[in-house]
Amino acid sequence: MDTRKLVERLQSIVGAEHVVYRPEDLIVFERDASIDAQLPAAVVFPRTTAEVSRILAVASEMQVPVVPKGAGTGLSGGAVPEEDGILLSVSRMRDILEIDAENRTALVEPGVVNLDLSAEVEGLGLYYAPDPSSQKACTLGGNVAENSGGAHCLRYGCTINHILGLEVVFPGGEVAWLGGKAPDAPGYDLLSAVIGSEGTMGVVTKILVKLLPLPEAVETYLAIFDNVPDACEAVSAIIGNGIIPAALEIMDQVVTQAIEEAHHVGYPAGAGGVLIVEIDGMQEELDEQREAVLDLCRAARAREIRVAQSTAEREAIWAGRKGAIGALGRLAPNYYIQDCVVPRTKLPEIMRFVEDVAERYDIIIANVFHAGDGNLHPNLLFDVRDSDQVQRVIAAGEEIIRACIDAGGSLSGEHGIGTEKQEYMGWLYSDDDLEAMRKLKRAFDPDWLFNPTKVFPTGEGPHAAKIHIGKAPVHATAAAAWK
Amino acid sequence: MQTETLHTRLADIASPEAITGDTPSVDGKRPGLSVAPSSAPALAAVVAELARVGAATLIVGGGTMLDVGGPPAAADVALRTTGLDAVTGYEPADLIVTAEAGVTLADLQATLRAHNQTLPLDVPYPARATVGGVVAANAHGPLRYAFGTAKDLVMGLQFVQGDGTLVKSGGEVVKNVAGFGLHKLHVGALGTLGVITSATFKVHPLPDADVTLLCAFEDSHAAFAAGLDLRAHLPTAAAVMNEAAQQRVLGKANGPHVLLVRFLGGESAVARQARDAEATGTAAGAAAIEKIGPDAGAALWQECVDLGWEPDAPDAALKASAVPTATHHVYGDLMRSAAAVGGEAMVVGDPLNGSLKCIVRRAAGARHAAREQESSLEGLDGLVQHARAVSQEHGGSLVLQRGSQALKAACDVWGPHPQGLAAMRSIKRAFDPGHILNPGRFVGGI
Repeated sequence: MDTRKLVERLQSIVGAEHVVYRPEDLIVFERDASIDAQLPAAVVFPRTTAEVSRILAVASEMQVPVVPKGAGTGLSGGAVPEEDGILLSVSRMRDILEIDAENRTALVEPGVVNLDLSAEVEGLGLYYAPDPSSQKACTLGGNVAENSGGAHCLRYGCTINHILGLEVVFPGGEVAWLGGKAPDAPGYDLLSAVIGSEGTMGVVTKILVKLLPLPEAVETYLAIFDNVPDACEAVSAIIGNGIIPAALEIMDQVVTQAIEEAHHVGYPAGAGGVLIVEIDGMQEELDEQREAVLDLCRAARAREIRVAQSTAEREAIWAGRKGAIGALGRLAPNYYIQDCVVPRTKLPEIMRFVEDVAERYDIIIANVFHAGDGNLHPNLLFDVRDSDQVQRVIAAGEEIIRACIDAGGSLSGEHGIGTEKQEYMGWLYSDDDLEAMRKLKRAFDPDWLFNPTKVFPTGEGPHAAKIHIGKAPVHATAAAAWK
Repeated sequence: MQTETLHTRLADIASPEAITGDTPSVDGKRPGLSVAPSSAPALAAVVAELARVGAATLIVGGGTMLDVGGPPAAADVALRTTGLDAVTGYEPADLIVTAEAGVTLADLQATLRAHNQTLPLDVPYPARATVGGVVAANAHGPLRYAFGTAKDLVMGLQFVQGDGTLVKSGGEVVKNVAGFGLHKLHVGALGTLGVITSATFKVHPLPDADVTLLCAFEDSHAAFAAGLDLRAHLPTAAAVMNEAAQQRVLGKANGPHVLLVRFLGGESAVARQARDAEATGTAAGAAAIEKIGPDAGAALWQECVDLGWEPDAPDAALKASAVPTATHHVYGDLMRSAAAVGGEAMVVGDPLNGSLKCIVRRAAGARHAAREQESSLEGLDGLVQHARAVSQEHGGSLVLQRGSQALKAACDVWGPHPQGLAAMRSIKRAFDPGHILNPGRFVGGI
């Protein structure tokens, strides 16, 4: 590939100041928040849809791989550049173009930060519901690519349930508007193909999102248990009683202690399992649900339940939860965060299994997860300089993934597959299933240029094995993004 | 197509009992035989054989929405999913259910109801409508405001591609981003990308309380404005109906326009919502407000959803959309222009979602009289074109869902080609290279 020619073509589209190509300048773009790293040939920062379209036409003509990138907070490698490829950053496309309060929609560019949108519409009594833990930094473009979740998915759904329309530039440069404020546009629902496609089908240049009215009332409880399985039992009991809280989040002792040391939010010392329950909606709904929720927690042997008495107390609880991954940086130089999902009723047994794995492999596993959705986030802590430990982490991680899939679960609830889990896709899907997905990608990207080395298994063996190849220390920097 | 040879082969693959001559006719095309395999692998083997011989396949579930789509380019075989009729996975505490494609919605709901749960999809004729058909036709009603459509509820799908390969997408958990959203792409694809053999849905707890308010309005704009105002009270669903629609649904007309609004939830919350909504409705100029309890309310909403899908097909059934705040413009125009065509025109608009339907039925006499006039289409083609233009002007689109063969031929049922059609065609080619699945029925001749 003629890098010099590529750079010139890109410069002619966006201007010389918006293309980065010198090796020493490229280094800061080699990573996202996952375990991989790769230098691209060039990073390009378009400002408009037309520029994106021209860039993709050049990529197609020169047969250069393309990786779109938002804030780079992704945990599965979706925004790690491809070798000799273009990294297309949407960071200059960050305008909120329209807020339609009457129709409760917002039209934004892909570089708009998730939390900034909610802040912008708060005065109208509205908000954007999906709330990944990295919402202070992550972009809506990245959220669309990954179909991101968050703590409040349980009641409100993930990104895909909140996107009404997209402007997409397909490989080759064709621009199409999909969906819109009016429902039921005829044709295949291409939104469903593009959302969650991890940057493999094109570049999103405008996003029409649904806004929700802020709930009239919110209550947040912190229930303290002796162990995680008891907290899981409370979760099952709450859902089994027909109550769908806004959030049901569990943290184990390793996590709460790390958070306490990092953020001093007042989590109790020595709690084996902490459950955050948030209920929201009309005051009457909360009045109906409050006692039931508290009783069910007590019945599951909660030894203490704290009710947030003020907005400040509620925010402190969440600051701790959303800062959890960052706080783990205090415990070990590196971590490997998993994202499996299991049927909710399997949670207690899976959590016991995770504990057992930690013991057998002699590693620390810190758990902080979306219990209501059955979405686990075991964090396997390690020091990349200790190769024996790295091997144990890899083997332990695989055991956990295998157990979750055997329990009827999935590889990923919200982080995506990327490079991190690609080799495990064959554990979940048959060759025919995977070929069907490849067909879908090819329909958009016949030359296979968009994030070409990701999502699908390469057959090179479990990806986690690459952990030791990565340049240490990996996660000290990644963790900082969550603080 | 050698029907007899195919008959023998399919009987070998499925079973002789799976083959019948009982086939539906769609737009004048009636397949020569019908096959109803009794398992997903058998259905896959049947599709492989149909692909091998290039037999155009009409996919049939409960047949409630079989009219939707362009006239089939060909229809050699009717492939029925009725043999796949088991609920294969249901763990109430996981809020997840998996059912084979031929399970009727009514049966599925009965299974869920036994555990105080529901699949919140309000579809026409649930006693006949099947899981596969509901997903393929993207059947939904006003409940979508609170719960979304099948797209939001389908977490996984098993389907047979056009070459006969059985695959799955998604999974049996409530949150999942492993792999692409093929299962969601099938929603509304009318089976043109594959034959659905089973689907996994996220389900919801049954609400304790269910209250519907009927607010009568003289003026349709006021009715729609009230619908938007009522969003402050977190309604579950709403619809505005004209007099003709009220006659069908309520058996009476409460006023020139009636706004129905429904609240589902806990007892005390719904009590307050209904109280607040009454005040809002009155302030918005409702002439009379009637309050209806759960059973009567549920029956009424079902009638509203069924409207237009009667086995005795109307002369035309139009589905329109608009930006929600502009729904009243399309509603008003549909009323006026349908009235000009003559006969009974039932118009229902959803002020919260921006979707509308217009059902035209003519008495036999009126039909005859209109036929005497120059156009054999009796002006219905003009209605479709005009209403489509109005919907587009307000950000939406219009689909002719039911109508005579001549009417479908006169106005493209889907309207102008959507953006992204090239990608849609590529997807179709990838999943049904032989173009045998419901050929010609989808957008752009797909």
